[in-house]
Amino acid sequence: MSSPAPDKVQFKDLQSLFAEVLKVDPSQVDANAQLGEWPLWDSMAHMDLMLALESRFGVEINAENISRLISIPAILEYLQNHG
Amino acid sequence: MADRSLRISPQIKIPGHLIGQIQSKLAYVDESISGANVSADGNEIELTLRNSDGISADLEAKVQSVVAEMARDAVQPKVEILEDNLARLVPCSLDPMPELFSRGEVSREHNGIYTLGPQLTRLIDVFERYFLTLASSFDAKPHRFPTLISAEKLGRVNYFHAFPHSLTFATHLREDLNIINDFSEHAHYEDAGLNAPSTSFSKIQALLSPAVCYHLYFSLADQPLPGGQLSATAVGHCFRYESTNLNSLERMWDFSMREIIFVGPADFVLQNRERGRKQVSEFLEQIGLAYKVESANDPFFVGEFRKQAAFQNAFQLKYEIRARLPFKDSTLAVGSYNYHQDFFGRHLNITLPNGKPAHTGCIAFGLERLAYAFLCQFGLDSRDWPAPIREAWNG
Repeated sequence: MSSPAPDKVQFKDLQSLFAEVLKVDPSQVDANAQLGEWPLWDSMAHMDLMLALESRFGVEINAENISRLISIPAILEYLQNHG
Repeated sequence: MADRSLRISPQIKIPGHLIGQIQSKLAYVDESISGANVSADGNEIELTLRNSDGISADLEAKVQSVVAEMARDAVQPKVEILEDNLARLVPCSLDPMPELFSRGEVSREHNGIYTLGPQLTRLIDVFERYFLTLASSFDAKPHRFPTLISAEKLGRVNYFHAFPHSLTFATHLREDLNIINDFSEHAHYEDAGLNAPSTSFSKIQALLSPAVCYHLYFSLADQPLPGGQLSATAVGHCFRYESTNLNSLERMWDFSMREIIFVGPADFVLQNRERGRKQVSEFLEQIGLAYKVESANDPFFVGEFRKQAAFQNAFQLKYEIRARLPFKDSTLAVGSYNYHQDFFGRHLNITLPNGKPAHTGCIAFGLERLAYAFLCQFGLDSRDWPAPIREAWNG
């Protein structure tokens, strides 16, 4: 199954990406999850997630965005605005 | 037999911001390497090889893998300069090392291991008096930490994963009469090492400490943080093996570091780090040091480098005070402002009153490096030094 274009990404797409990277069941991925608030989403996991976002959805994430994309709502908004 | 050189064209062009980082890591690729230089355009690596009989077959593959691991998909860092006083006029432009050696002020005991004489010791004491005053302004409580550090605790904070290349291990002879007697009779130094078989030594339980603040965090582990926040200060010896990069007082295997450490909620740590930076800035202005403060990252090893360095950079976790070395038109990190977020609080289970992991940060000064950079800029004659240092020196 191909990945959706960034502007078509929905929570369920991020849910499955987070589940793969963090090695958890998708049901454990909360729609409002945040870096630091969810113990599994620590600094190393964050960088794995950023790299996975780049390769899955074909977007480029620079240093500034690495520090902004720290919640699932922020990531969704970023992807949807970078189609 | 003379050393020889080997030129390698990296399969991935090395971006400018990674040239220094990759160059320093090449020292750890193979024992035959005695020097490495990456061209300014990032298209060529020149290795200097010891006069060994042969080059290991996989040497080039290992070099290529280091470049690939560190440079592939590298995130271009934000370079943030918080202070730029590099252009300050300073009176000296000579390398002080030859004179320091000839006066007996510095003596090389071994690669990366130096003894310092009375002038450098006294100069460091002058800086130390200032740092203690700075620490007092935060009501930072004094601590004394051991030189050895627990292997078990370092493992808990992933140190072995992030910085394996710079570790220095401590061991002892196994508790076995035959082994101890055999060592006592036969041990001697030969071929650049002690001749004792490795089986004579115990398992590694301790290392020589690579940083000061870790000891404080370890002492706070697995309990609620007393009072919900604290400031502390300590000076200690730190050990980071840097292979062929070890270079005079600029890069020592055994060096001393003064730290002022903050543990508590994020805003407590960040506000104190910033307050400390402003106070240090005033001090450096008073003494007229030429320096800048800019974003930096820790020297993570190859596999960890790309992600960890990008994370540190993105979240502005580390800034270095880089003093100018006029004699070679470069800079040297003499201190740093660090914020670890809740990394230590989480890994060591240090909890705040609200049950969340504590945040940590520190202000750190490399004492030998600071003294060395000062002498590079102001020379060895104390009569030529800036008034605040001269007065403290005489006082």
